[in-house]
Amino acid sequence: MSADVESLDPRDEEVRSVVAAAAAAVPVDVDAEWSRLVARLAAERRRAMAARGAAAAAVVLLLTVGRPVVDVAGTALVRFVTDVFTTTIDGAADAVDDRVAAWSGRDKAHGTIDDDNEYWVEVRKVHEQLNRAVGWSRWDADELDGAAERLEAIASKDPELEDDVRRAADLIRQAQSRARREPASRAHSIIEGIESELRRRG
Amino acid sequence: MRLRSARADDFEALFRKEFASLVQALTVVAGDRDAAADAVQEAFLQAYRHWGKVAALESPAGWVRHAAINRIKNQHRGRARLQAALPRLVPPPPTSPTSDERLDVGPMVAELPEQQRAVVALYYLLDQPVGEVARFLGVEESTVRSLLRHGRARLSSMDPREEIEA
Repeated sequence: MSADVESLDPRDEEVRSVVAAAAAAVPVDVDAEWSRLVARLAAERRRAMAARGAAAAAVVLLLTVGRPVVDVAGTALVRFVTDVFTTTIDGAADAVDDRVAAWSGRDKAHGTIDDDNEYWVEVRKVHEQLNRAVGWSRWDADELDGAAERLEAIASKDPELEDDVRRAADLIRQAQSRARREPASRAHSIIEGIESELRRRG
Repeated sequence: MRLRSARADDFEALFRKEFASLVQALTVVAGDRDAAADAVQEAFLQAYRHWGKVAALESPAGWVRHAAINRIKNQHRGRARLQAALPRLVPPPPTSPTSDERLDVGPMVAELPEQQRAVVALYYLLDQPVGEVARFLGVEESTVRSLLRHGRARLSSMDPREEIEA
């Protein structure tokens, strides 16, 4: 009932019941309306999937045309796609080549690694596992098997990075135990940060 | 037919519990069952898209009701603008069908003037306070009170003085 002075009218109950009875006479087929709603939701889902499929096809096409060696770890790929989309079709291959060349110099998260540095190699292996697990449009927890243990084994070797390494290990365990992608994505960001720091140090 | 997602169970339960009564109430408000059903469908679609947030509210049903009323309000205003513009554009037909002819409700309510019926339904069926009803119709609160007074007089068999005197 409305919390209003008008509700004090003595005829309220009678009027309410008359209006309610009138409304109740309106025929409504709830099952049919539910089916209509589900069909609309399914159509929305199909449109969204088609849009994602078109975007994926565009990326595959661009990668094929440019034949770049791409580390498909999140941000680098997004930068790649954004840049390539802004170029003309004729210039796409050049743009890809330029971008791949630029990555090795500018993107500290995806450049070359020091193969003699065991710590660095282990971090890199975990990074690759994370790429396989949570790469673009992907989620496969099984790819993370052993990643947390690998990080724990090296964590104490660099006190400055130890907290970050253990945090990443913890997030990977969460991702596996809860079957959730988001903690793995956060671990991926941390690992990229660690690699950037390692490269900054040289 | 069912939605595949597990989160849809609560949503479906809410839909099955609220849909009919909301459509029925808004049919009385708008005088058009199909328009009411569309408005409630849209409100539920909107609720599903934001179900994570809507489900966490104290009253998801209240959220849906509010969304559906807003949609009917927008339709109502659009129709009012159209009705205001039409006579200037085309002459009215000799016998134009009214919304009441689509209204499948009891005769007492169906015979109420359009605005009076909307006020009575918003107030008594959808529990909207006078201020909200006034905003819905784009009129003064005093107008809503007047429409309510006349609506009561037509729908009630009781003289308002009877109870007071008794």
